[in-house]
Amino acid sequence: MTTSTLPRPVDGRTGNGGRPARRAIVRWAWRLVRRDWRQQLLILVLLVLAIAGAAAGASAAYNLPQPANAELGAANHGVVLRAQGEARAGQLASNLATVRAAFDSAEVITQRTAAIPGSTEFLVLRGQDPAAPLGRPLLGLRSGRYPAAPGETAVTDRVASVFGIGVGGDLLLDGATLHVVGTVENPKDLSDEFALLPPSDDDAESAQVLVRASDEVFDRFAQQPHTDMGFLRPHRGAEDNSAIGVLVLSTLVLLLVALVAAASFTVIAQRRMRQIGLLAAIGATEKHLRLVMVATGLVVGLVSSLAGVVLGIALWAVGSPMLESPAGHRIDPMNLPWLILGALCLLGVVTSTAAAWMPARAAARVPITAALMSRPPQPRKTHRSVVLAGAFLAAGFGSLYVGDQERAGWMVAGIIATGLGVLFASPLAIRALKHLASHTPVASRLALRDLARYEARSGSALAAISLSLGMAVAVIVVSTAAEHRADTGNLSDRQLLIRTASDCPCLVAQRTPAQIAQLQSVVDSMTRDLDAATVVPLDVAIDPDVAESAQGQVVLPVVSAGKRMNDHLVRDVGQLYVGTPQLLSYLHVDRAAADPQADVLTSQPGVLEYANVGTKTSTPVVGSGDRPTQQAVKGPPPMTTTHIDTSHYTSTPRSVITEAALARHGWAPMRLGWLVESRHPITIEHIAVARTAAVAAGLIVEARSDGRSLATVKSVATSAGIVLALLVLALTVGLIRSEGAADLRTLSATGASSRVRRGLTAATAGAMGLLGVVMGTTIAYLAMLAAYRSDLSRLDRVPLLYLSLISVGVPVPAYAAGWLFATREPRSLRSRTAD
Amino acid sequence: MSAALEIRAVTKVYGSGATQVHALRGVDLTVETGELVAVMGPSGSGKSTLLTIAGTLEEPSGGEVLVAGTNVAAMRANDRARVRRQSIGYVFQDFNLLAGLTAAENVSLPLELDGSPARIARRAGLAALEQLGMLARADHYPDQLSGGESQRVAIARAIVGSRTLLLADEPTGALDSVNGEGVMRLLREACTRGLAGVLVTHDAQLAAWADRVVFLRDGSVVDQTMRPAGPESLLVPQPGQ
Repeated sequence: MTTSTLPRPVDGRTGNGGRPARRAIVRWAWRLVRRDWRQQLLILVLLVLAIAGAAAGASAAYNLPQPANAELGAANHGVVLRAQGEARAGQLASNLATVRAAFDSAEVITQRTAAIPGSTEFLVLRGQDPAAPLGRPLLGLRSGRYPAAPGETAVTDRVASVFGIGVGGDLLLDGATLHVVGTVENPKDLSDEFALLPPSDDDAESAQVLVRASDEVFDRFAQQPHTDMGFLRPHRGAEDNSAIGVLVLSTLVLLLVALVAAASFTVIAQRRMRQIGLLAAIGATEKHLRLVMVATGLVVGLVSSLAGVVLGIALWAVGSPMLESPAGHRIDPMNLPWLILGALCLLGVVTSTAAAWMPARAAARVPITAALMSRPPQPRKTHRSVVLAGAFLAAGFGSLYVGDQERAGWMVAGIIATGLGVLFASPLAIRALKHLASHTPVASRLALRDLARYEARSGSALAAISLSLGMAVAVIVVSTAAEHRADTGNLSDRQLLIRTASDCPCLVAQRTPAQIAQLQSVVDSMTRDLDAATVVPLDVAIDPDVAESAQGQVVLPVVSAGKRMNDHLVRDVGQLYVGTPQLLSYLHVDRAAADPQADVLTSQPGVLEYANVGTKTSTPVVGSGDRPTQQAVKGPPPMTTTHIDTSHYTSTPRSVITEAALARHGWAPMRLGWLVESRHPITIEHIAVARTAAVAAGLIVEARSDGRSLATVKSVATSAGIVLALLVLALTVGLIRSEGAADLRTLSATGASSRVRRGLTAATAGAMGLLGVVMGTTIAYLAMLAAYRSDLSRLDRVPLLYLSLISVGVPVPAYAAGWLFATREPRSLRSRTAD
Repeated sequence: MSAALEIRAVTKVYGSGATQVHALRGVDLTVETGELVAVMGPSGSGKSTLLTIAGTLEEPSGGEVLVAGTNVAAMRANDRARVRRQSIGYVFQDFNLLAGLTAAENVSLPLELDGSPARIARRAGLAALEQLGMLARADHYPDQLSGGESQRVAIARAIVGSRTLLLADEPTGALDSVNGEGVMRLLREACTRGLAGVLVTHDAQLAAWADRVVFLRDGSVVDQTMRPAGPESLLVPQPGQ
C-alpha cells in the first residue's frame, strides 16, 4: 500500500468548476434530501397542503361559475327568435327559414309555454332533437328514454315533482295528455326546468337556433335587417378570470408559506453546517455552498408542487359532485385549468427555492472553521425600523381606505402593503415583549429574552403566525359582514309582501276594482290569524299609454326608478310606489312637513331616472340580477325628489311618488300588492298557510329570506388559521430553542429542573402564539375598518365566538405542546457529527 | 527542494479591545516539497490556527502565506477555494466525509468541484482508493466504514489530483493505535513521494514520523528539531546504514 499524488485529469477548468461541479453538488443535495427526508417532512406537508388547496380552489373557481357559453352547447353562435301577436306562427316560421338558409349547420330548439293547472306558473315545453350534435351538451338523460313520437315527453326532476309523476306517468297540459318516457336535465343549467318534446316547429312561441359558423359569416348575417331576432355570441375567458383570481390569492398564501419554509430551511442549513464547512474546506466556492441549499429548496419545491397538484386534483375530483347542485350545472372533474395548475406548480417550486435562498446565503457566509465546528452564527439584530413598519402599514390601510371594497387594484396593493407591514413590525413587537420579561419567572424571562436575542428568526416566525391568523380573522369578519343582519335583507321577520302574480315584478296586470276587492278579501283572510297585523295596500304608477299583452292578458309596465351607473346602464333601485295616505302613514312621512313641490320621496341617494314612462327608447334598466328587465325608458321626467328615511329592507317601499305628481304626469295607480306587518315574527306555519291561499288566488307571497349562512366559511377559516399558526410554531420554536441550546445545557448543569426546561419551551411557544393572535387580530381589524370605511355599520357584529376560538386555540395548545415535548432534545443537539 | 508552503511573520488576532486574543504572533514556517513537519504544543498554543491559515480556511491578521510560491493571503475567496481544490489536501481528526456520498464520490469530489467530468474524476478517485487499499470499499457510504477506513478515504481525498500540500489536524485522534500507525505510514509515504506535509499533534510518538518538529507556545514558535530517529527508521533502512 503506497501513496502518491495523482496527476490532475483535466486542465482548463473554469474558476467555479462549471457544470461538473454543479452536477456534483446537486447530486449530493438530492442524496441528502432522500436521506434526511424526515427533516423536511413538515415543510413538505405545508407546501403540499398549500398547493393542493390552491389547485383545488383554482379548479373550483374555474368550474363553479355558470359556463360562459352554456346556452350555445357545442355551437359557437346562436340566434334567438321570438314571435308575438296573432301572426306569430307565420313570423317564426319565416325567421326560421331565413336562419336555416343562411347557415349549413343550424339546429333549432323550439319553445312554448303551458299553464300549470291550479297554479300561476307556466311550464316550458321544449322541442329538441337529443341526437343533434350542437344541442347535445344542453340535454342529459337521467332515466328512461328521450321522447321519440308525438304525445311523448321527458321531464326534469322538479317538473316531475311538481306534477307528482314519474316515468310511465301522464302529464296533463292545456287539455292534452303527454306520456312521460324519461327524466332529463340541462347539464349546463340545472335550474332549467322543462318538458322535452320531440323536435317540432308547431305552436312554437320562440326558438333558439344553434349555429357553427365563422365570426365573419355570423356577423354578416347579424348585420342584415331582421325582425324579432337576437344574436348570441361566445364569451371568452370568464372561467379563466375566476381561476386567475384564485392564483393571485394562492400567491399571497404561498408568500406566507415561503416565510415558514425559510425558517425550516434555516434549520436544515444549520444541521448541515458542518458538511457545508467541509465542502468549503475541500475547495467549494460560496456559489457551490449556496447551491447545496438552493438545490434542496428546488427538490422540495418540485416534489411538493407535483404532490400538491395531484392531491388538489384528487380532492377536486372527489368533491366536485357535491358542488354541482350549488353551482347549478354538471361538472366534469377533469375539466381543469391546466395552465393555471402549471403556473401553481411553478409557483411552488419558485416559493421553495426562494425560501431556501436566504438560509443558503447565510450558511455560505459562515466562516469555514466555525462551520466545521457546527457553531451557529452569532445572533444578529434586524435592521427594520419603526418608520418602515409604520410606512408599510399606513400605506396598506390607506390603500384599503381608497379601495373602499370596490377598486380591486387598491385593495390588492393594500393587502400586500399590510402584509409587508406585518413583516417589518414583527421584530419590533418581539422587542417590546422583551420589556415584559423582567417581572416574570426565570423560564419565561429566559424565553422572552431569547426571542428578542434571535429576533431575526423569531420576527419572521411571528410575521408568519400573525399573517395566518390575520387572514383568518379577515375572512371571518368579511363573512360576518356579508351575512344578513336582523335589520337588513328583503323583509323583516314580521313582514310579508303579497303581490299579484306576474312573470316580472316590473309588470302589473290590469284589474277591475271588483277583482282588486276580491283579492283584498283574500289577503284579509290570509292575515286574519296574524297578531294585529297592519296591511298596507301597495299601488304602483302605470302609464296607461304603455300596455302590453301577455298570456292573453293586458299587462302594464310599472313606472320604476333607477340610478344611472354609466352612459349605457341604469340600475333598478326598486319599485316606485304611489304615496297613498296609508303608505305615507306607514312610512311615518308627514306629507305636510315634506317639500310640497317634491314629486318623489325616496331614501335612495343620488339622482333617479324613471322607466316605462311613455316613448320607447333603447337605454336598458338593469334589474338586481343584472339582467335587462325593461326596454321602455326615456330621460328623467321633470320630477323633483326629496329625501325620506325608510327601512333598509330591499322589498319594502323606499321610493314613493306623490299622488299630485301622479296626476300631473297623467299616470294612474294600479294595485301591485300588500305589505303585511305583524307585531311578532311570522312563523313558518303561517307563511305556508298564506302561500297555499295565495296560489289559489293567483297571488305570490314573499317572506324574509335568511340569506346565506357563511358559518362553514368562518369555521374553515378559523381552523385553517389555527392549524397554520401551530405549524409555524412547531417549525420555529424548536429552531429558536436549539439556538439557545448552550444556555439550556448550562441551565441543566446549574441544577435547573425539567420543569424549568419545559417552562422555557412552553413560554417560547405560548408567547409567540399569543403575540401572533394579538398582532394578527388587531391588524386585520384595522385593515377591515379601512376597507369598510363607507359602511362601518357592517362591522357592528363582532364574531366573538370565532375570535375567542382563535385567541384560545393558538396560545394554549402551543404552550401545552411546548411543555409536553420540551424533554425531547432537538437532533441538532444530540449529534454534532457531519454524518 | 522547493518550498511548498511558506509562512512569513503570520499573526492572528481574534476579537478586539479587552477580549482580544493573539492566537499567532509572527510565526515563520517553511515546508519543503517531500518534507513532513509536525507541529506540537499545548492546548491554545495556536497549532490548529496555524494549520487553518496554512490551509486558507482562515485569513491571517498579518504576514504572508505562500502556497507553491503564490501569496494566498491576498487572494479573493473564490481564488483561495481554487487553491484548496488544486493544491491543498486536508485530513481532519474526525474524518469529515460527506454522508450522502460513497467513498469513491467523496474522493473524487474535489476534482468534480474543479470541473473534471464525473467519469474522469471517478476514475482518479478509484485510483487513489486503490493506492490506499480501499478499492473494495469504493461504493460504500461513510456510515458503512470503520474509523480506520474512513480516515484512509479522507487521505485519498487529500492526495487526489495534483496536490502539493497535505495538512493533517490530529489525523489519528479518533483511531486506535494500530489504525493510527497505519494512517501515519500513509501520510509519511505521501510526503516521500512528493507532497509537503504539516501534521498537528499532541502525541510525540506520532511527531516522530515527521522530518522536523516545530514547537508552538502562546502563538510563537519556541523551538524546532530536525527529524528524529522515529519508528520509521527501524523499518526503512537509511542510506549509509
